[in-house]
Amino acid sequence: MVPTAQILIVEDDEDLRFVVEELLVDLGYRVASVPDGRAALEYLHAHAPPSIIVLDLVMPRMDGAEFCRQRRRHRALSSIPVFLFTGTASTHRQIARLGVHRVLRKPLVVSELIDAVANVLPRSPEA
Amino acid sequence: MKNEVEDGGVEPVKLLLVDDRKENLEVLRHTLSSPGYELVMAQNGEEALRKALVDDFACIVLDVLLPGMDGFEIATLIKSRERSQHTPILFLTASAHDMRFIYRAYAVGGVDYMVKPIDPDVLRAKIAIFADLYRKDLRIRRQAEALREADRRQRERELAELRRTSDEHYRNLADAVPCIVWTTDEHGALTYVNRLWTDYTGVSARDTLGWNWIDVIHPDDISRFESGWRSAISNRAVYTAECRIRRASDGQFRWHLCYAVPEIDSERDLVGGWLATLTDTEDLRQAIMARDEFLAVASHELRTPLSTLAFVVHGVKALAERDEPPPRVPLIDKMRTAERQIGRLEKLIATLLDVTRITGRRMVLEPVDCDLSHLAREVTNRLREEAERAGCSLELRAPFSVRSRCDPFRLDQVLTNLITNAVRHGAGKPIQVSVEEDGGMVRLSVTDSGEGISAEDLPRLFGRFERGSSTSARSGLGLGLFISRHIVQAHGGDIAVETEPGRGASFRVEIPRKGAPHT
Repeated sequence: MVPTAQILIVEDDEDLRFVVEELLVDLGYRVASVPDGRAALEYLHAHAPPSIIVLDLVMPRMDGAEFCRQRRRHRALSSIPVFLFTGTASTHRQIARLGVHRVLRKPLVVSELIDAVANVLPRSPEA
Repeated sequence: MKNEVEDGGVEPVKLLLVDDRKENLEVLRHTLSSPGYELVMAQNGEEALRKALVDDFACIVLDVLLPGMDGFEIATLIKSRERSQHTPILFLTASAHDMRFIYRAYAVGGVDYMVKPIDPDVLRAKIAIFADLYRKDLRIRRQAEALREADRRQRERELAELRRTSDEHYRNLADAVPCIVWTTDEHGALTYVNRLWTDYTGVSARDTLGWNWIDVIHPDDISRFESGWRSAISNRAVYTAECRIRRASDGQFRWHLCYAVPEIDSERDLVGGWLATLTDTEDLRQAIMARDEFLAVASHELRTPLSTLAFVVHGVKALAERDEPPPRVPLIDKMRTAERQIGRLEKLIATLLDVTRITGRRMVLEPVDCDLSHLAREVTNRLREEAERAGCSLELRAPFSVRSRCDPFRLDQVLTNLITNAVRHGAGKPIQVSVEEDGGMVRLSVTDSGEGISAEDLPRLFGRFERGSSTSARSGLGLGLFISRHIVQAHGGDIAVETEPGRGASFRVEIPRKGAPHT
């Protein structure tokens, strides 16, 4: 049986999705990744909830904002902390309305993501 | 001399007759009685002076010997008054042999004298001369007055004409200005609007005057606009505000900038009225919003490869910081990823530069003689792999060499853009690329059988900051077709699309064989 992912990455850019996943895997986390919000919802319906969702804002099919709205409708999902990646100049107010746990501005400072993840998942996970 | 008196058309002149003796006056009256004269009598000096003060006389006939005041004293007083200083005085005397009398009479301003007993014919003749002189003088003065009057009327006419042309000039000026112009009185009540006001709002100038103009302002803006305007009026301050005005042609409320300045009469330190303009800023606002949106998209597009690069660098650093030598394969993979990001950044920046060139009209072509069939073959071969990954086969129909004078680098860019779009929206179905010649034109077409373009997206397809099916889909900056169309137009051609939603789209580029006309 596939072990439960601790972190779900939702990012449409293939290269970025891959390098973020690679980094987190190297740090010892169990990671799953999907290319858009709709795929993320499908994943979450079919799997045990992860501890963190790393979410891009601008994506095709279903963007990060719409995903956040959908997430709030499901109690099981609304408790999962979301780290929002954003490269757009969205205002703080727009982002605050999404109810995310943390905002990470692109271009990402890698250590920022590492620290943010470690804050939620402090125990050095087993390899 | 022509007897004007008997002409009847002559107006009577006044004569003042002064003698203390009634019978003498009677004789004078009898002698001078004529329709040409209006005779005024006086029996003493005071009475004579009073009458000379009230009326203008053609001549004064004055008896030298009067009780109380003698004739010379009276003459002196008459001559000292402005009204009567030029009135001729004819003295009547009984003592003609006294030369002192004669000198004295002339010295006080008498013009003539007669010795009693008076010869009626001589008196009539003398008086007739004075009356005639008086009439001529009167006529000259009247003519001068008439001339002055005519002159004044002419000046008034000229001034009125000047005012009219000046008014007309300013009205024409106000009508030539591409914004709404209006004026108000000192209380802010509208007194004038230019033609654009009526054209724009559909409300006639007459229906707008006073405070009725408030009605064309958006209901949500009225109270803010009006209170600001009233406080500007009481403070005599320049008023700037924005409000939405209803455009009659489509009923749309569009943002306007209002600018009103008081006309201050500096001499009296009063506000005579207000001059104001309203400028439609809606298009400007839209353009700024579109640009902001574009900048947001562009910054997002630039940040994604940058983020990826940051992760790659972090990964390489982590590998390098290990004690053992870094494994080759993961390192090479990371470098390939890094290269791809650099390529993406380069392409994005090139696109942004193209847009800047197009907007700044600095797109320069480097035309050479080239074979478009050959060019199309190169592009399709280059993109075939990418197309096949998306499940689309690329079919090229370019059986003949088609030569044209064009910029091959730029047309490569156009074809690459069209084929990439076809692959992206082609739903994995075959794509046809063809090159043909048609008279003096060369035609390149790219046809897919994919999603097609909705009627809603079609008008904005070639816009600068637009993207088809833009609902949160991200596929580059959405500038490909904008740039392509400009390149084709710079070649003197054009680009057109035929599409049916769900059945695909066909883009057709046509350029003249000889390239762009020289500019």
